[in-house]
Amino acid sequence: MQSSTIVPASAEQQTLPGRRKPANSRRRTGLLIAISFVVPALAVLVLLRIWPAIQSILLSFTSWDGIGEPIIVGLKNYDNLATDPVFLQALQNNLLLLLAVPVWVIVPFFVAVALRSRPFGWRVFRLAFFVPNVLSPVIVGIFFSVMLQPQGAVNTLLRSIGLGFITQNWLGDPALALVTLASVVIWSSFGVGVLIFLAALGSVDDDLIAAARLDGAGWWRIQRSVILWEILPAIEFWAVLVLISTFSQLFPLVYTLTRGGPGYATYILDYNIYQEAFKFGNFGYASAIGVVLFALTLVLAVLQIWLFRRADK
Amino acid sequence: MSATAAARVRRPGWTPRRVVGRLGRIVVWLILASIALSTIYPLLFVFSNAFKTDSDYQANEIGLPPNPTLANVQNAWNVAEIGTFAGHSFIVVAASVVLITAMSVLAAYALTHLKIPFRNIGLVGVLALMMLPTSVLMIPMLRTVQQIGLLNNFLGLILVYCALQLPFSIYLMTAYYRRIPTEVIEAAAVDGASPLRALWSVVLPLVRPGLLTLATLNFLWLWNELLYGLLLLQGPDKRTLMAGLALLNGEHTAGIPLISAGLSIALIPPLLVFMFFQRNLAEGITAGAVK
Repeated sequence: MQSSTIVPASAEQQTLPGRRKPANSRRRTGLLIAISFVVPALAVLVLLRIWPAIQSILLSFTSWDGIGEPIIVGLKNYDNLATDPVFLQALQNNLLLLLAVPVWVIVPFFVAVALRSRPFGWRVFRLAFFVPNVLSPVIVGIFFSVMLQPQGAVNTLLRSIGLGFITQNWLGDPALALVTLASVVIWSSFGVGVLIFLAALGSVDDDLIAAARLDGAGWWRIQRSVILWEILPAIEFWAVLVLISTFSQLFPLVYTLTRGGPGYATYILDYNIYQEAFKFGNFGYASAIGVVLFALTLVLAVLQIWLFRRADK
Repeated sequence: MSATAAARVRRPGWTPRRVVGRLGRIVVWLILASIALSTIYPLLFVFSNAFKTDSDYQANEIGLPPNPTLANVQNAWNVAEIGTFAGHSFIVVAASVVLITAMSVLAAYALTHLKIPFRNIGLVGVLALMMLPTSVLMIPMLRTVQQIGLLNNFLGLILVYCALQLPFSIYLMTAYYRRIPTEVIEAAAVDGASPLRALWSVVLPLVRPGLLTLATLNFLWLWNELLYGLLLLQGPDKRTLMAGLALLNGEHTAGIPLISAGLSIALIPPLLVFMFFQRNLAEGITAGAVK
């Protein structure tokens, strides 16, 4: 027992060469174990994320009806894209939706700031704001298509409180449908942002705010100069999530709420892919749209990783 | 200094500044309350329409059912096969959640606390996959699932759901693992515990809230997932609940009350899960954002 704690120097040296080998093989088994931890996830991701991504690029150079074998057509799909009014409209709508991102960040920020002072029933509010995330897009779609009809509940409510002049054909007016869609999307996801911002606000040092107040800073000044900077990482994180959402989370709502209409007013790229492939059977052409969407988001992804890295520091 | 502050707090009466402050607080509260009403109201809308007759619904879309009926729920369950579809969804989602949790627990642990080659590439890869939109993959995903012979097979959709949710799940687990000091893990290793042993008996108990959050979030998302359910399980004998409801909504013969009845049934599992785990959820969602 005792000899293991106080080992004579000579004995230690004698045992060292003998020990090296097991240590080495232990390291090797350690490596094997570590790799075996990663393999299941890696296998699934390679098979169903990376291989499909490669296939998507390959298919974009083909004409394929989804049943037979794809026929190589070179760059023809991309040539057609450049002059396809439906695709261009969808692309434009996707880019326009990026304009909603600031609102999408500001709304949960102010709601979180309001909740931070713990108004009456703030726990209930926090719970309620998250409810739309539990609802399936099918529910949200049906609910809003009923509510937002010209004679629907929203317009009735507006008229009854004397705001009749605001009433609109929310989903039927091509100039307005995209704004309506963006609003519904923000409504259905801002609760997550509120949670993220509340947690970040909780970690802001109260002394810092007290100090700013002593220096004579007003409410607005404190939000802008103290709180905003303190929770910047959370804001960046949320902004990034939201940015991705405009490219990847809208399909279910478009499918259930507007079906891309009226006309092509709320056609977005992923809905365009779905229609081209599964309605018209142009799988090759749809793949080319996918590649464009992929390239667009790759640019954003690089920007986002850079932001994450910066937020980490 | 403290005396003047105390005097200011105790000063009685309605100074203009206080009136504005109080009014402001009331206005803010009213705004919060109306937002909360708008987010809760859809639940009432769906549940109350489920019990209306078609003609009662035509007469009044909002509001409570004047003559409550169970016919819609019965029809949804028996004729529209909502119960069968719910069974399919349950199999697929439960299996996916278990697999995703197991795989991300292991992979994230290797990426944060074990010595592994290309660790940084792995971490960046996870972030990149998390950010790329999955809707781009709908066609090649369908083709790949076809190639491996799992189209119209629950296993196909389960694997696709794993692929969709793994990047986020691994990312969230790394955020939790990073909070555990390396000393804890080293101590376990010194005591002779294998990595798997250390993970199971030392690390996992410490990240239990994270595991619950992860499982809850994945359950909520996958239960409501529509696109891949529509694409990969096409026959009525395999259809998922959301696909069934979306298709029912597309049929013009099905009235809103019938669909509402189906939606109400579909809402019960996620609502229960949400109510049980909501405290965890708030904590978990923020784990990735705040370090």
